[in-house]
Amino acid sequence: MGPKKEEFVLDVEKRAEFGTRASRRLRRAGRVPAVVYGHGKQGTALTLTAVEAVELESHAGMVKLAVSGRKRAITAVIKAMDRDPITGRVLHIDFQEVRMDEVIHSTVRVEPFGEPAGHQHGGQLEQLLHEIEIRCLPADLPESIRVDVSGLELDESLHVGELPLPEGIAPVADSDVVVFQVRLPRIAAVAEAEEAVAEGEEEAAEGEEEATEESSDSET
Amino acid sequence: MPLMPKRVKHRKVQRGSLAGKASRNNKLDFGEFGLQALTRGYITAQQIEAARVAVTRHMKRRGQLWIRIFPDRPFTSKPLETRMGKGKGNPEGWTAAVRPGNVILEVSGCTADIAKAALSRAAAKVPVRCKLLARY
Repeated sequence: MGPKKEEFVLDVEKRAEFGTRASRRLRRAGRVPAVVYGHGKQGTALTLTAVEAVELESHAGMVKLAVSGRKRAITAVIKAMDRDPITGRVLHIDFQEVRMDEVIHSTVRVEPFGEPAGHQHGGQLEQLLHEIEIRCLPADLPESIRVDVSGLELDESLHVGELPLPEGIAPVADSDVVVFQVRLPRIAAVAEAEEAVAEGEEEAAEGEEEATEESSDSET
Repeated sequence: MPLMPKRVKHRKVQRGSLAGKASRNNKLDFGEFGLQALTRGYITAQQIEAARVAVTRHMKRRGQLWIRIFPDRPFTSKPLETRMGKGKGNPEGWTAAVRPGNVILEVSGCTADIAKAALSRAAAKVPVRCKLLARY
């Protein structure tokens, strides 16, 4: 199981300017636009420094938002983080305000560890689900879910229902969705099939040659 | 057999615009490593096939490969020693329009070193500058 997410306190400011151009100005000034919403309240537009936004990437999870001019910090989780697809720079962050006693939905990363047993027979670990949506209390939110795959033999799979989730965490996805499987490499399988076809053709060609030879012998 | 559509509505199409960055197909969705375009251009079906062959040969039958682009745009050319005019040329092949950010190939099931070497070979086969992506 992965470590729990550390509580992260962010100094944020309220934002008065909205829209594309204002957001671009903010980014040029080294800040990142953000928003916090939840519990049916009106969303609040915020900004934080780009440095903090980068740090937040490795601490994805529960955060305390210390809004300037406000006494109490807002407890929130990161709902979405928009990134530039080319540079990877954080463009915008969505925070969702949470209460510690309410169950929330969140997405966590699934990471394998260990070498699958089927590896010795030429099998290869395939990860079909890289992230999983879970339901839990904010305090129970893990950083990631680490799964021991060393027991997986060739042609065996591990489903969502078999993931070692800690108490208080329930998956949202169906329990029969495949997360990991150990299979022969697909490229190898295709190549073997092609070889088999080629061999079959060769044998067929040899058979034909023999048949023609026999027929020519009988003719003479 | 290079990639091409099974059937199309129009044999010849106008070039359209390649402006802007890719707003979809711009992150890893299947594999652990990928090849992302940094410039824009048209990648022909033959270039995609060359990239695929380069990757599969280097990975030596291990791992898995996904081709994330499809050549669905026909291109035309005029026969040699033909005077200008007399209408548009004949369809000669198929291309995929690629914008900065588009993921071209994805691989998984091999070590990072092998994936990077294989994808850099594939990058040499396509007419756009590329960078390598890794999931973690």
